[in-house]
Amino acid sequence: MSDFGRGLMISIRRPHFAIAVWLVQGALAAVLALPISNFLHAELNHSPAASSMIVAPNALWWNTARREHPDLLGTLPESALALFSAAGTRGFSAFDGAAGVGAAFLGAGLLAIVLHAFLLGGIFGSLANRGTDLTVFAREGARRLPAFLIVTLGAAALVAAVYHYVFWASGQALAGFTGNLATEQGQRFVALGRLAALVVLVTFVKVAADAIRVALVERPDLPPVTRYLVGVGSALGRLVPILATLVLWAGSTGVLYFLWSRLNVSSAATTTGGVVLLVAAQQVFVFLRAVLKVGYYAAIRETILRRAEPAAVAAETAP
Amino acid sequence: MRWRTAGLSVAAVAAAALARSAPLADPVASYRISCRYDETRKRIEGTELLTWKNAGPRAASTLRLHLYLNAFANNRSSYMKERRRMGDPARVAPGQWGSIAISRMTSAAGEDLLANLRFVAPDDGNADDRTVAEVDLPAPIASGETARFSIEFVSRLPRVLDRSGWAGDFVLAGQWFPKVGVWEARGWNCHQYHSFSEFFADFGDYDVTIDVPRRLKGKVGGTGRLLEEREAPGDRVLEHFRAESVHDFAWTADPRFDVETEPFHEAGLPDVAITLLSQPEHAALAPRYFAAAKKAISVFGKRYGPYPYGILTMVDPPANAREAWGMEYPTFIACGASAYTPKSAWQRYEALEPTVAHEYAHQYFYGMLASNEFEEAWLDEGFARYSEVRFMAETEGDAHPLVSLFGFPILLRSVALHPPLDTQLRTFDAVSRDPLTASWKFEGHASYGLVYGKTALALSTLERQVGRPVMDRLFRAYVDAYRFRHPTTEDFLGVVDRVAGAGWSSLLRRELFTSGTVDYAVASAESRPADPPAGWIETEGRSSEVVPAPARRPRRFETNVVVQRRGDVALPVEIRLEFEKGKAYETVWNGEARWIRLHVDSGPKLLRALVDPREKILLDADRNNNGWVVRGDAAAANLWTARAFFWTENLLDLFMELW
Repeated sequence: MSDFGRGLMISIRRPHFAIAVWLVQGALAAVLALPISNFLHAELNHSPAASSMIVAPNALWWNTARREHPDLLGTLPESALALFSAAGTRGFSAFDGAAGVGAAFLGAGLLAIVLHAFLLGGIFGSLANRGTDLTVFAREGARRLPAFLIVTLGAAALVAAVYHYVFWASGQALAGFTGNLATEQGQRFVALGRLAALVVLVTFVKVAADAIRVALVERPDLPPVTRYLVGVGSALGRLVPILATLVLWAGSTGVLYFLWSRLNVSSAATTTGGVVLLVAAQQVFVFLRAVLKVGYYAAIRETILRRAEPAAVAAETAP
Repeated sequence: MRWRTAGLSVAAVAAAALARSAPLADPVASYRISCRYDETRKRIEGTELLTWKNAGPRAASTLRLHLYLNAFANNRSSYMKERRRMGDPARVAPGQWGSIAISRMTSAAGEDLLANLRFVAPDDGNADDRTVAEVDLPAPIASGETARFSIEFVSRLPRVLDRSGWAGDFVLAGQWFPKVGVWEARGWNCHQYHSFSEFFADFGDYDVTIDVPRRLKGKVGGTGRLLEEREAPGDRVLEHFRAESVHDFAWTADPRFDVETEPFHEAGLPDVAITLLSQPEHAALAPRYFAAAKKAISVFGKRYGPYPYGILTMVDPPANAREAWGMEYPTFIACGASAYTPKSAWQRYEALEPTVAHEYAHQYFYGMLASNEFEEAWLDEGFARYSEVRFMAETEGDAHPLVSLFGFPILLRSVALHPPLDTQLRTFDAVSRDPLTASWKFEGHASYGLVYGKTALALSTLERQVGRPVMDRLFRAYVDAYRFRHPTTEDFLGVVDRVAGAGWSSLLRRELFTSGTVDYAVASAESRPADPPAGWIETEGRSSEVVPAPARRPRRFETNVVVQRRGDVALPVEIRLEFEKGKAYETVWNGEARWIRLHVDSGPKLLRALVDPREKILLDADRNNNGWVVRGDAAAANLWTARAFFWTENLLDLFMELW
């Protein structure tokens, strides 16, 4: 708790980290915003369905729009749902039906991996060098991009491999067994087991990648390969506090989403003015998420770098 | 009421069934079957006494028999080839194939008929398909004459595949005995077993005794009523069923079944004893099963006429027997449901209430009317879907989509699916691929779905056009006129014209029996200030030049609206123009031309133009183009752009955070 708290305080005291994260996310999403906006305005502005769509989503409108404009998203939604299905999908080729905005979304996702490496290089580098402005942040991000990109791409590849070889392949291997289970509970138990294996392994990849990033920045004295080993070692050595930090971050982010869904801010956006306020509220939310995110990375650094408390020494003097 | 004894169930069932006496249908094909179920080998060995009356107009010199379990005998059968062709190959492990073989067949005089048995493939000529057998008769059977045949057979049930088979200890025996085809003026109507189609048979009486292991005592359900359950040598039990005026017999057994019986009683409708054989894990679903069945018996009883059999058996197959889910047999329905699917996600395949309603609706269109499902499946499946969706709309209201996250369902409560249209939108994915045709001639799964969805939407369209009371009268007249008479499409369309008025059947024909789409669109709608009179204008015989005064604010507008028919199928459609000051104009366009222009020289300003404003034509493939609001409003587009931007930011961020 204290590490995550310390990380959060760092994030709040140095808001330029969160601002940088927020700007990058906004810039990425903006690439997709214009084609989405153009499509929606063309289809909705003169539509009698528009008034009802301010109140609630209209399944008929959306389904028809997708059927009549197959190039808008392609099969991205179906592929994404298949990715998160109980059976899973074989791999990235499942997304070969994405088109238009859907394909651009996948492209933005790949760009996000690169920018993620840059942002983390900036955060960890600035923290190590006690940099307090965006110049240091950008310089550190650029300087550490190659090394961080290797880590990020490696972690992404590992996650993909875990998904394919553990989650999907286990589903294939157990299909006959699961299909022969007479109860729904039994079938769900198998799905839960496969999901648990996926979550555990992906979590470990994430934790190890973050620990390696810290080692890459904080241990320049070591040869490159050794830094990776030190990173993995520190992740294993401090697994419990690191996991606790990760859980706190995920939990606080979840609370943020829960509050957002309960507040139902977008229900008030029935006019242009309301939409402006909605966008402002949304960006405050995204910024708060960025603060939590930076707080997590600062906390991970704190957890790994924190020295063990000195053991209590029993002192005795000669009689 | 759980775990009632079999004796109590039998008493309730028999009492309900004995209330009537006269046969409902002239028996044409009746069976007395005595068989033994080998639980270990999943085999049924039986003897069958077939009493067949030639109800056709001419003598029959051959007899054709369905041997449907041979569809599961190997990967050369038409059924297996069709599944493979449709991209849904059946995966059968060694030792799990099914089959049926006749070991002895004699006439009433004792003549051996087996030597003259051969396999025929009237639908596709597949020489490897052994689902239809033909036997030469020693002497022709004259029209109206009755003949008896004694048949010994051995059936091997497959690991459950398309409506029949076993899964663990569960067994659903459907199409499990040699069954005679239908002799018509044009010859034998005896189709092969296909991937999509279901069945067609003559009515008759069934007397079936099944010899099962003792551990299945009280855990067997079947078509008709259980007359007797008695001990037999070798630690076995005889289950004796009888069903009259039905055209098939299926049975099920599972030592895990929970068996419950509840009576249906409602003034004005015959009593029905409802038996549920359910999985122990679905104990909590039992009240929902009974409630749905009672509601369906009541609603359909009032709409389509009384259910005359006095008994209904519902089966809840286990999770590993999904191919046995959702199948109808006379007085006997296999339901299947997921305990994890919320009630309000009723558009889902695994939802409980619509499955019960759908399968029970089959008791009318499949059971009592008994149309030819091979050739005109829409008369059964389409009508059942229409009945199901209307039933659910009336009893449950809107549905909600369900998404599965790693197998765990998440209900999207904020999105409403309004029946009947929103719950059947998949129909439009294939609407132009096939007209309704014989079941085995459809291109694939999606286009066979038209039998259900397109029919249901066409019937809902008709309902909205002629009104619900007329629609109900129409269906009641159809059921009353053709109970136990195997009606055809022409019979139904005749009733449509007779009850709803001439001409409606031709619209149904256009909707169902062409592969064309229906799509009306408001192509343009504009209102601009009307030009006041100007120039040399004659008034009362005198011509003078009129110079209009400059108008500050126009009060009169010239309006032009163009409505297009973008689909292939022309249907009459309503058009509504709404003007300022609450004025409106409505007309009905016959839709025959490709477009129509509505023009107003001078009038109030147009606010919006709508085609099909009351959403009557549910087969309109693109309703998004059915209206045009003259003064655009960007509020909705702005709102959804903001939401899309926000969630894109969040999704990309989550994507970053994974590694």
